Amino acid sequence: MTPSNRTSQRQVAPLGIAPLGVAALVALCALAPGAAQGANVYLVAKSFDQTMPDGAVVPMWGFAADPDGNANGTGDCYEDVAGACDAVVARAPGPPIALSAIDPALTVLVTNLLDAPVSIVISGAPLPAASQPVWSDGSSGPRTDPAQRVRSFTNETAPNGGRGSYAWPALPAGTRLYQSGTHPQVQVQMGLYGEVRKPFAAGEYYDEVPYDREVTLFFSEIDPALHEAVADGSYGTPPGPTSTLAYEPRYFLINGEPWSSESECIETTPAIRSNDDVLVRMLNGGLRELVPMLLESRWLLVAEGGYRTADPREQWTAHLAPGSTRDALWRPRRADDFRILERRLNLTNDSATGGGMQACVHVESNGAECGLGAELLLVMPLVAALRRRRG
Amino acid sequence: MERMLARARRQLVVLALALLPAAPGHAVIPGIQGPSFSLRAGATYIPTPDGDSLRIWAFGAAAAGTPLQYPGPTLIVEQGATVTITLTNNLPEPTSIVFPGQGAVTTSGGAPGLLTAEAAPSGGTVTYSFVARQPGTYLYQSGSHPELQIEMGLVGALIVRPTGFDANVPAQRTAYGHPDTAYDHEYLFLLSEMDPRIHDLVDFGHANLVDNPSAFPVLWFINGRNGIDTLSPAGAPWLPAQPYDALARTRPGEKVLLRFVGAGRDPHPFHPHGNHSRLVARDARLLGTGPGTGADLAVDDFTFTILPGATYDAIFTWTGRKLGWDIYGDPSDPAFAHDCTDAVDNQTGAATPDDLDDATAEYCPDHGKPLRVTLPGFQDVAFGGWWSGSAFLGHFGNLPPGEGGLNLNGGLFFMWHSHNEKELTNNDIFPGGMLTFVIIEPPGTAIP
Repeated sequence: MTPSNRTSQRQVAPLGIAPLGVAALVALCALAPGAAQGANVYLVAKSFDQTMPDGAVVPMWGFAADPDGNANGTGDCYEDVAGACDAVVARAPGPPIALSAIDPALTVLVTNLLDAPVSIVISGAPLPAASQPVWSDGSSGPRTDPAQRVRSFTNETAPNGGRGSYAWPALPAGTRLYQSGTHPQVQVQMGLYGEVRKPFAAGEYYDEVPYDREVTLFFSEIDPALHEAVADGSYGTPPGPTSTLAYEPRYFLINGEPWSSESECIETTPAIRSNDDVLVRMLNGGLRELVPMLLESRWLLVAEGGYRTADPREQWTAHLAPGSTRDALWRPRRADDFRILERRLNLTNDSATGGGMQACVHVESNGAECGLGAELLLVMPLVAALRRRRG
Repeated sequence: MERMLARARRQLVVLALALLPAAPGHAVIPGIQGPSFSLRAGATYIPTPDGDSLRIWAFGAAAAGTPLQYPGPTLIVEQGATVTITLTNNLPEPTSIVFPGQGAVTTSGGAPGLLTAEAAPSGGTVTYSFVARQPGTYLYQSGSHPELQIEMGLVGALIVRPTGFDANVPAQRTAYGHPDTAYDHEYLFLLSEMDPRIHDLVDFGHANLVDNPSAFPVLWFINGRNGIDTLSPAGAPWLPAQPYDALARTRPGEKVLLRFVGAGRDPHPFHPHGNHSRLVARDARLLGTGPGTGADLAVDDFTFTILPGATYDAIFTWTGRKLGWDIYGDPSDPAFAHDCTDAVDNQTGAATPDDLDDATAEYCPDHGKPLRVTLPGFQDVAFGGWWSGSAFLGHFGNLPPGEGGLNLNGGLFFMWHSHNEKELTNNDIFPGGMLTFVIIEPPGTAIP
């Protein structure tokens, strides 16, 4: 049934403390519950149901971490599909793939329990090594007929228990989305997406972008009518929908959950303290442009699509394009629960107010609060450093 | 007779040119001065050019006899001021105000809401206070039930003047306290949109039936007016709840500060014709490398995608540079006689030529170059009210009876508009929507 989505807006920040050594980083990665680990990541594609705050139950597709995270022996999804994976619960977004700075290569090994072929691509990164597009007739290799259209950007993993692997020999640092590269107009909006994150170096997310704490805000949407049609097989054949042109999302989520009266503020581990430099990763797994707005503070937008920007801008809004990511550095100047709302006003659960894409981030005192006059972010040494490098 | 009139007009304009420099005015954005404000929120109606009368929720100054208005009053304060806003709520549900970009807003009175303290319906009050630390262009908006209350109209602009600002001293007339943001005229472009189905449901007492995910705006506004109400005068009595116009005017070579505010729910690609504009600030921060560097990261662009909830400041200047013809006509014709004298840099005043006439901003390399277009005959064209009959700045040509008349000074009109073309309509009727103009007025023209 539902993966208990209501009250779990707590995040674990595995790379939380800046000056850790490389070995410690890897160890912390391994400790992070729910976070897949580089460089080999085992994911399971699976359907699940998600219960919305209004009680609606929406059929979803999502990824789960393979329980033992390896291909040795037997006993779970990748090695032994039949029955062993029944208890594995997928969610959307899928588990974050958290690489360490010393992992240039990433291999994602997929077990596909859906009844449709899937694949994995990472937006903003090259296609997986040895990729072959799959055409609409199911063939791959050179295009032999103009009627062939691309169905999959890369090799597919067969449905109902197929296994596949996707390798990136040199994944750059930054924040990116992984998502299905097969029939993406349907599969991505069904929930087959997640976060890939990789720091440039220990304590530096990008070159010369140091940080103390981190938090992820993963934005996504759900059109329940489309999900129902895909789940009951009516999608693709009239009178069912034959495309996603009429896409009309009705649920708007951050980190897989719509806001509700039961929602709590995000509390990271370790906790964000006032005057920390907080790396805020924003990702858009949905199909629409979004504008996250931070109230009573400002952030410095340092990267877009996984690449550091040449001129970081200090704003209270951010433009978050579908399939893209923004990274911001945020220095909260006081202990508070800071509010973030999506300014395109996707703030309802279906039509009920008080929901949608809202979040709050809890900041604790570091014992040296700035006065009211210093609450605004000015990371000028950092800005100057970044901008010097432009030349 | 017409020909004589045209000549008389030309001579008047030549006279005006001769009287340069004149007309020191510099358009100032209408609004109310702080730092203390008393606002109220209530319901009223606005007429829209498609013939509708739309129920809106709006802010207004609380003073007796002051109408509610869309957008809310532009609040103007000085940098460093402690700003206090007391809100009285005459709406049927709780409401509030949030101030994006302002840190540590304190509240008194009201009841706790999700984002901030709220004023109770039917007369409740709440007070917000913050220090306006940094200059720039900001917005304020409802922080309660925002997907409905912002759609209904509870938005407005906030302008923080930099320390030392003086509108009457050119060196101190800046947006951000730095010469890179000095200007001669400033205009606000607060962009928004509405879905009349939502307003009708509220009007008929069915706010509970509003379905936000299917909102589909068909009316687009600049400063609370649809095109071409945008050109009607500020405070026009026939638009009592829409007091702000959006018609920009400038003279060649002058700097026009464009303050953009995204107040609705959609991004709008705003496209000021006539020249590139220089984006100098975003979300009320100079685009610069650090304190004192000015806007050294400013960028020239011809379309600015104004995101909802965000603000932008840009500087627009029109000179006719490199048009390839003399904007003041053939100087050998006595009716168009003029010189092009370039001894100083018009922007800095330094004794370095900048190719522009020191008084009229004519581009001297094009001085005397003819307009290489044969204008079509009267039978072959349709006229607009803004066509002076002449391509030359400050001049009038012959027009058929009944044509022209809206271009008082022989200016050049450029359209400034959303380049999302469907937004140039009023509920599917073209032209309208997010549409206004700039008038390049001849030198010497008085601009308020």
